[in-house]
Amino acid sequence: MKCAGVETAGGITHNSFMDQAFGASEFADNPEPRCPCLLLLDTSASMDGPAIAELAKGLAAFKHELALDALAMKRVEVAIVSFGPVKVVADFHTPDRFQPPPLAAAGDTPMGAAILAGLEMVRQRKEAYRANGISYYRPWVFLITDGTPTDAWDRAAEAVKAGEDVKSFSFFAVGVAEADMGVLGKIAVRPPLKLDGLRFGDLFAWLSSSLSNLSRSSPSRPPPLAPTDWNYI
Amino acid sequence: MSVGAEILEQDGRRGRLGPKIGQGGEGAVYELEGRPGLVGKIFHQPLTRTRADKIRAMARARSPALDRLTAWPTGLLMAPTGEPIGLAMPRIEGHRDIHQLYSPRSRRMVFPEADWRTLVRVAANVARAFATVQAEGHVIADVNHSSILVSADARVKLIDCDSFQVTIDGVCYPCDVGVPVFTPPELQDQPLTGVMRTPNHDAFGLAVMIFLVLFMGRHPYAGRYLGDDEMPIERAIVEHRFAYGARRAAFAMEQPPATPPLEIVSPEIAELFERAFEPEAMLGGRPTAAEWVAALATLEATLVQCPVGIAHWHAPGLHECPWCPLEAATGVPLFAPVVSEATASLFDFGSFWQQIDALEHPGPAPEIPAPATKPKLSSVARRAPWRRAWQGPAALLVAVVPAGMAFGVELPLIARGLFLLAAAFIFFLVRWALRGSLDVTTFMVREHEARKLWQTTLAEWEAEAGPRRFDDKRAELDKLRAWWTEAAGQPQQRLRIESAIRRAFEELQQIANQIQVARSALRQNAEEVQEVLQQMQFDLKTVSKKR
Repeated sequence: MKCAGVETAGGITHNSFMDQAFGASEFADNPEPRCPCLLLLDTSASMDGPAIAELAKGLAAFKHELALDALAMKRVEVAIVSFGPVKVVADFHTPDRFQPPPLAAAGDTPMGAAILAGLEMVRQRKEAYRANGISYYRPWVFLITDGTPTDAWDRAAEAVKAGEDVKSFSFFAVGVAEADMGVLGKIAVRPPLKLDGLRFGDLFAWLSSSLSNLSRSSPSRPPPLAPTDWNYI
Repeated sequence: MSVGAEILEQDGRRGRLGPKIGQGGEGAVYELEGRPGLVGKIFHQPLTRTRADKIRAMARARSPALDRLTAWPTGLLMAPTGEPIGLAMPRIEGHRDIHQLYSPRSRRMVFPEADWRTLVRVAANVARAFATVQAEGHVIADVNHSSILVSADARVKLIDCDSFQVTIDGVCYPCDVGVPVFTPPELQDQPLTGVMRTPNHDAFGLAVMIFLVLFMGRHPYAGRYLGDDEMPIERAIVEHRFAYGARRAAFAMEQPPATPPLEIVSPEIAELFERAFEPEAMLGGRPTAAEWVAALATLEATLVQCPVGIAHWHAPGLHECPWCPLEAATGVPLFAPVVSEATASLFDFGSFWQQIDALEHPGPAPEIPAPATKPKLSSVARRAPWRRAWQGPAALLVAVVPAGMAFGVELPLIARGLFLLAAAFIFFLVRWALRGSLDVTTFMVREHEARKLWQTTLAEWEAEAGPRRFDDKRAELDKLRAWWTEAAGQPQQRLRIESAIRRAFEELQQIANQIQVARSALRQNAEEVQEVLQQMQFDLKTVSKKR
């Protein structure tokens, strides 16, 4: 039982093909292609009350629905950045390991910083996929907000446009209640969607079924998005 | 169409849809009331005339061989109006999607008893199913991760047969779809509508599927691409960038980290993969399903079990188990035999430990016995006293000539003095010349060197023939045993400790063996060294005494 490679001090033998890349264990355990989905959630003070409660309920159902689909369970990865202030509340995980975090509404709406932080997470995740030979679908970024950015958002808008131009992600903006749809329209390249009331449940049901469909497709040939039924036309 | 809807089978039998049991992109699958062995697939879109004809023809072309390995359609299903809406097919139970088997995480949950033997057998059975379908003149065409089902005992069923390209009574009914990561380079980037599919196309999808199964769910073209641009799998396929192939460096590809090399599947099967993925194969010549069946059956028959890792089986002739270093590097258990507190008997700790206790302690390194014969003086030492004894007289003898001259012959006084001086000079010169071989320090140096060699030999003897390594490994086992006891109620943790215990026990046996080998191999040398030392000591003693 002699290894061709080196014997490390810890007594663990490994060969040259074992050189570690970030996340190698996770991808060895589950080498399926990945559909990363980043949620940028507004948790500023204005979301307090029924809005944040509905959002949390929607997230729990989202996990549950994804976990029912054996393929989505291995392929979809969800991460969450909340803003008010900007905080990574969940890094990218498959639905079986994703825990919907408790959300508390407080603070202002640093949307620009949240978008930049989120896009950086997406970039790093893609790098980990590449280093580990894991194929991936174009990431989805979902911005959900009920307000107006309280920080400078022009750099974020540029980053979104640049990323959409080279197809490095798809950015969707969803406005809730009093959201400034005008600003959202300037940040997102795609027309922003306005949530009907607080139908977060329907929004996440649509999102999970869209991600399920995506995970069944081929990374380079995503299926057309199903029509949304949770927004004002 | 929904549960309870009235339907008409192809032979005119009236029935109803039972509960919905599945949902796919094309349609939904329902039970059929009063037809326990069958299910109905109802399409979302109305069926075209050609599609309905294809299903009717397929039902006609059923055969026992096809029924054994596929969910071959048994007939068309129609609405009461006679409009075709779907098909009836055998119900398949106790099977799961093949992707649940090939990626390690889902395998541990869904196929907990599957080891690499299972995977090799499933791969062979997939190839058998392909061979069977192709033997009847059809082509699977749309090979994908959800179109093959596997049972816990490694049996395989091909489903979604209505998407096959079938040729019945001289009519070819084409397949218009394909999943890109299973599609050969020559069909990438083009619409598949109306394209005539061939067994050589199937052979690509089959090779990809077998690779996924044997290589822990890794796609053969999902590697580390060394360029800066994006390299999706489809593009890698078009550009022949097989990440595990012998020519991968030329294609700017590296294997992903924590993956085993291609060679672990045996040279024959590695060669089949190379042939399936080489650019030349676009023109034909990919390994056929029958070739895969033969090679995989041979591999299965020659698999060997790793003595260390749990449920590790691998091809013969490898210099090490491919799974042990992988598991050690990633901490991911690749195969998980079912363990729960109730079924912990899988590893019978008590009786296993008895084996360890039963392994005899090698005892202290045996003494190297003193040579039976008394040391004799070496020839150098034997001559030494003689030389010493003769040194004076010999010098005298040589010096007597000039001394005699000095006194015997009439000479001037000054000459007599010179002759006397010469005699004295010669006397001392001769003694000086004989001095070297008389010097006791020579014997001291010889003795010192012999003693040093003996000390080194003794240390080596202690290390190799002594019990220290055995004792260390045994102490390690006792520590593992303590951890195992502490890990009660944590089956996965115990599994890992058990693996370490097996490994350590294996090493303990090896060490015991090596000690016995060392005792017989090193003994003669040690005895000789000791004999030399004793002689050197005796020489020195003798020489010093007689000075």
